Amino acid sequence: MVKRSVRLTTGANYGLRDWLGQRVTAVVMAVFILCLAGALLVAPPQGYAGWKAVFANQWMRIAAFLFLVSLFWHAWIGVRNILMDYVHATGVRLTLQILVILSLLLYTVWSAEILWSA
Amino acid sequence: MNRTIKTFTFAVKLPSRRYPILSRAGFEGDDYWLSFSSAWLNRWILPSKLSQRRTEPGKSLKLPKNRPKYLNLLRIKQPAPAMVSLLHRITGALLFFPGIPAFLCGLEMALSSPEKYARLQAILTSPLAKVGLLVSLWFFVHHFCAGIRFVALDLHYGIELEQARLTSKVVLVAGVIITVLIGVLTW
Repeated sequence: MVKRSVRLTTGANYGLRDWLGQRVTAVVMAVFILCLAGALLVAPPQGYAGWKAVFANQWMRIAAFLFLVSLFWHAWIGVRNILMDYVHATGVRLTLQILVILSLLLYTVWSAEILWSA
Repeated sequence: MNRTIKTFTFAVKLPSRRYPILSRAGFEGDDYWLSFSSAWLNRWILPSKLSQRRTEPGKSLKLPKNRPKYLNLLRIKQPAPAMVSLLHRITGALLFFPGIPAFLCGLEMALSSPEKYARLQAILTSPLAKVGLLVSLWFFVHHFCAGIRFVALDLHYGIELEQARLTSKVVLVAGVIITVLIGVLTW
């Protein structure tokens, strides 16, 4: 008999994708925040007109939208982990997870509207 | 001060490289979150406490099977890395709600019209709002700093115990200092 040494793998195997996604979105957000903080420190926008001018730039809108989508994705993975750890009743957890997904989709539409109607 | 709890789940982050067997016991994917449940407490923590009880010589200690569990949450002391991890979770949850909707509301008010901008400014300059803003800022800064530490740990930087303890203390202090700095710069 030949003894096979096969590492047992179980589960849905989406763990690595989520784990990596959380870190990649974190890095994207960190880069955006540090750049923004630097820009605000050098030249802080003055009043409504100043902020409006910042977000009138199409590249700024795209960058801010990418930041917000990364934030929502990151939040989904984090909240899902928290719910899986502490909410053990399947029905309650599923309901909460659906509510979280729906709210994050709503936030995505809302942030696009805020950025492109500004 | 005793609190009775039926189920208690506490998770700690372990570097998977150092504890490969332990981390395999955790969730699939989140390979270094190891969850301790009340069953774990019952099996390992409580018997060790109970065995310290004085027994008559020659008599074995007999315990009822369904004994109540008492756990004083206020007397459990966590090391600094555990505090950072726990705060990362709590701040993350609070940044999701009410953090995200509040931020989007503010962004909408700041960009939609000069009247709404003025109203936002009036709301944010009240003393109560300033305290709230500072607390939210600390939540964010702590989450940010702790997140950088976790990514560094994932890349196997600072996974030795001494370094991990030191960086967790640095994160806790930096969170407060950066928050105060931004507060002073803004006002």
